[in-house]
Amino acid sequence: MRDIFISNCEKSFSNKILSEGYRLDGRNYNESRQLSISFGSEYGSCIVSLGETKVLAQVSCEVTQPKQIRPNEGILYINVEISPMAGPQFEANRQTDLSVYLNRLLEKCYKDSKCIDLESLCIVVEEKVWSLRVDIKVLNHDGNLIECASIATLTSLAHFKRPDVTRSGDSVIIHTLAEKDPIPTVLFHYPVCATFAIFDGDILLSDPSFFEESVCTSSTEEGINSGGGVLVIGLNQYKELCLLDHSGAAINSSKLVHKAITSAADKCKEIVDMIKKSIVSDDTLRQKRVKINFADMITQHHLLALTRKDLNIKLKSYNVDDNRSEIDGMDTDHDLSDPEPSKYDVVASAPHTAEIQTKKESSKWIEISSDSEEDEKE
Amino acid sequence: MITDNDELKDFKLRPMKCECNYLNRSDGSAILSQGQTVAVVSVNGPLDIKMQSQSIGKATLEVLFSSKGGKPSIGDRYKEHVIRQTCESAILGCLYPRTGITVTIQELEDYGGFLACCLNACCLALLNAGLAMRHTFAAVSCAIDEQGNIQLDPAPAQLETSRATMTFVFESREKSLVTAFTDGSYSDSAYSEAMERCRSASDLVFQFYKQIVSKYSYVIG
Repeated sequence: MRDIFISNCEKSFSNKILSEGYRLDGRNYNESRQLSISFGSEYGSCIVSLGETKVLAQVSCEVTQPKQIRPNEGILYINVEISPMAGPQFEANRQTDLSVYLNRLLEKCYKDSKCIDLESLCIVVEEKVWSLRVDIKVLNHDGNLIECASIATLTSLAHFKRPDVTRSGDSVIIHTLAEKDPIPTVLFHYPVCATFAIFDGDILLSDPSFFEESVCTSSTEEGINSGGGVLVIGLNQYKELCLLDHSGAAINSSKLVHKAITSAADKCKEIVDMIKKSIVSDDTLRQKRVKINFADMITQHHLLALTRKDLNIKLKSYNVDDNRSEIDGMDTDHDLSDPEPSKYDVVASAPHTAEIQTKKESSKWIEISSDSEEDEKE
Repeated sequence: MITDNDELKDFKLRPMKCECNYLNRSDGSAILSQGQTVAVVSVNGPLDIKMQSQSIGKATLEVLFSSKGGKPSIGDRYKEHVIRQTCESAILGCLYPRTGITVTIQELEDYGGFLACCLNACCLALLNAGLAMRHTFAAVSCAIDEQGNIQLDPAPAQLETSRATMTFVFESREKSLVTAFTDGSYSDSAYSEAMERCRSASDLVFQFYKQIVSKYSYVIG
């Protein structure tokens, strides 16, 4: 109902700079936004953010009767919800095409690729099995929901532990987490989706933002589709293809798909490694009885602009690495030992991009002249 | 009603942490933690809504509560109702006729005093969205144990041994009661004592609001 439309001049501008090799947020064609994973206090709950896109995943389990055709297998159920929190264009309690599409893709990627050992979820054949339910809640939709949701699903499934069960005769005892250590879910392989936006039938953009996604799937002024579309590729850590989905205009060369798959393969491997690493580090923290909570991810030092959380500027001839050591020093003891008390710090984020963050002072309008180098040196 | 003033001074709430503009697609949003309890709230509005739900005199407020996992329950609907009533009294809806305001709440962690945390996060998100309000509101929860002791902002361990739990919402101008939400059994005197204690503790929450808002606004502080 309340769709967001993009004007023709925005579309043509974005198409123009893309053909010159630039993206609006200053990334390269193959560059992804920053990925961060934070865990909640319970097993199997995490928030994954890919740039500004944020997704909450929670895995829960219950004992149910198995399906008649698969009496010795557990059940995996994936549910995606997009509430008005994700963006003002979404309506409450209504399934949109996007949420159905997302649900189906995740089911293809995680159920149909048989990455979870469902047989290990069986308690009593034909009577009792564990049913895992993955709830995906989209908190903020800023493009590439599929990749973000798939990372969230995989992370929460790999992080989840179910209570231990003992059978004595006919009765089944489910132990609480305090009585017996919970059992992790067995995953045979770790599939992750990667998204590419196709422009002009030959430019591949990895991790498209909301704007790029809307531009490439919409038709141009003449009403003819310009050969744009979105390509979703699911691969596991062994670089085996698990999912291929394409929407938008038809692809006119098979080379493009091959190119996308090879670049997705490396990316997926990287993501899976990062997921594994974050789960291991979370696990060691838990063993040390450190309380992990979503409250940990609340940062209080961002510059609070009214519409954008941070200010991202692309600096053409400025390398953040030159200043990194100095900035790192400022970051650790920014209160008193600051040589000259500046209102804001410049912190490196993506290559060639810096973020401006403030401490306790109230924010001011910061002027960014076309010569942004000067701003940095202030 | 209050006899011992010193006793009222002796209150403590769990540490609060807040980040505004946590979500960039919403008009206003806030993530708030009170101790280990965490909630995210996003506010969208005033925006265009369907003809049949428009009202001529004021903005239509829609509140959605979403739990962390599992199917939506009756308890969620009930929370929605309480939050809706509270927000309705605070927002100057008559300034935005024929429009809609959507408040969406997402549960992240529930370790006691969850409703109070949701309400406080709502108030911060409404402030962040820049909607006109009659007053701000602060929610404080408390628990009454078997001996009749009142514990402000209870932790889960204290909730287990409690006989009753209460959540009070006060407005900022005259500190008068906006919403009361109780559960369990208690005496009349315990109720009024708990209310007075929460009323004085609400000052802490209002101070916290000022601290947060003054980070991005020159108007306060």
